[in-house]
Amino acid sequence: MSFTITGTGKSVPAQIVTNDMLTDFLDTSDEWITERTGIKTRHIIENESLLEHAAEAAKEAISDAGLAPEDIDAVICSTLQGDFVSPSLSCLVSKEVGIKTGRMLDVNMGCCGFVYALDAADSYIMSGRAEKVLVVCAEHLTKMADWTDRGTCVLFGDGAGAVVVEKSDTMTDFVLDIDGNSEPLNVLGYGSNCPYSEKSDRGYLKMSGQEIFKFAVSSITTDIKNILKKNSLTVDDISHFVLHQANLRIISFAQQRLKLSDEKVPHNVEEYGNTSSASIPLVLDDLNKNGKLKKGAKIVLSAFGAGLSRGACVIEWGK
Amino acid sequence: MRALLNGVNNCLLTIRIQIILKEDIMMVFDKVVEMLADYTDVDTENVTEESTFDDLGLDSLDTVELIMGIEDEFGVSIEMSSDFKTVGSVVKYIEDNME
Repeated sequence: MSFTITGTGKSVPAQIVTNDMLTDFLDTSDEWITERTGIKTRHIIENESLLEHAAEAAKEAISDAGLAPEDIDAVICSTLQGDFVSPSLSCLVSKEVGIKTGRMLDVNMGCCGFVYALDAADSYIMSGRAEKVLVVCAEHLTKMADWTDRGTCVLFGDGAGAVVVEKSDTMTDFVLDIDGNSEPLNVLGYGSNCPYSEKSDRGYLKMSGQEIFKFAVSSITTDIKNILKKNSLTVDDISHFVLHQANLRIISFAQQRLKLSDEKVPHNVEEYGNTSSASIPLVLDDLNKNGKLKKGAKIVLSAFGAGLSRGACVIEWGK
Repeated sequence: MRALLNGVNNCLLTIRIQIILKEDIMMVFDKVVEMLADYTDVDTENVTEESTFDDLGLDSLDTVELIMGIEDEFGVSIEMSSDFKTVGSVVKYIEDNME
């Protein structure tokens, strides 16, 4: 028992890129992309900063929770990389939004970032260090993709999702695991021209599609079964299963294996593409703003990503 | 004489084991073809060990889904790092790893 979600927010770039637009310079088609991924459009940062989106999502979540920025006593930002490698996105968001606490950190757990950030928020709350934690997931993935590689660049989009979590007596539980392999999914760093080290260039996102698909479906299936069993819950007790939005084929196949009904498995990957750790909070915001969540509803989140990392949690909705 | 009889016995035993193994191989192949039916419009009677998943109209993710179904069916664990282009390659993998 520890926290519940009391507010959500989101901000996505205004620039929308359709599959047809990609055919201008890529040997691909709307049909190919749709069949393999379900993705139809993605929002891509044009010339604004990621900070703008992170701050906007944060302000919306704080307001949705009925709070003021000064009420937040810890900030966790999940991002593969902000506009700067350093300073952290948490620092910049906090200044932009008017948050007063100094307790914050950035988290990089790939596409699992939101689940891992919630786990960290949980520990802040359980230790008594905070009662109202802002969790912001902001991703500028499109700058890391190789836009000459039609197998990967079509998958990703940019955006930010945020939640406020507050101390409560409701249930929360997590299952987390990693295997430490970088080979199947990685983004190499920014390169070096230091004369004392081996020269290196920047690297773009690389992914072994089939291996990641298999890992994703296995993780979702296993982690969801485990989290339910651990907490003596069944599928019927859960209001929604919010999966990381990487690819509609992954979501559908996992849904099939777990025998879940369509109403319980929301998805918006068609519109936003894979926005890494922002994907789950973007779905939560949609569900929240459309009135689909009742107070006390149990929600299961499940994510998988670089690390290879995997994480699932069960939480209760607090609004 | 006894040595000759032993020799014949061993030979027959070997042939018998090979027939049983061949039958097992056929069963695995038949089962894989049966599972393929969910993913292809091609008449399964026309599927051979040389048939490629590409020819059968499976995309790369269909192939992973099929392989995950095969894992469940045969109780094997299949690494996606292996390159499965043909039906035969999957059948061989299953036998090599099935106990």
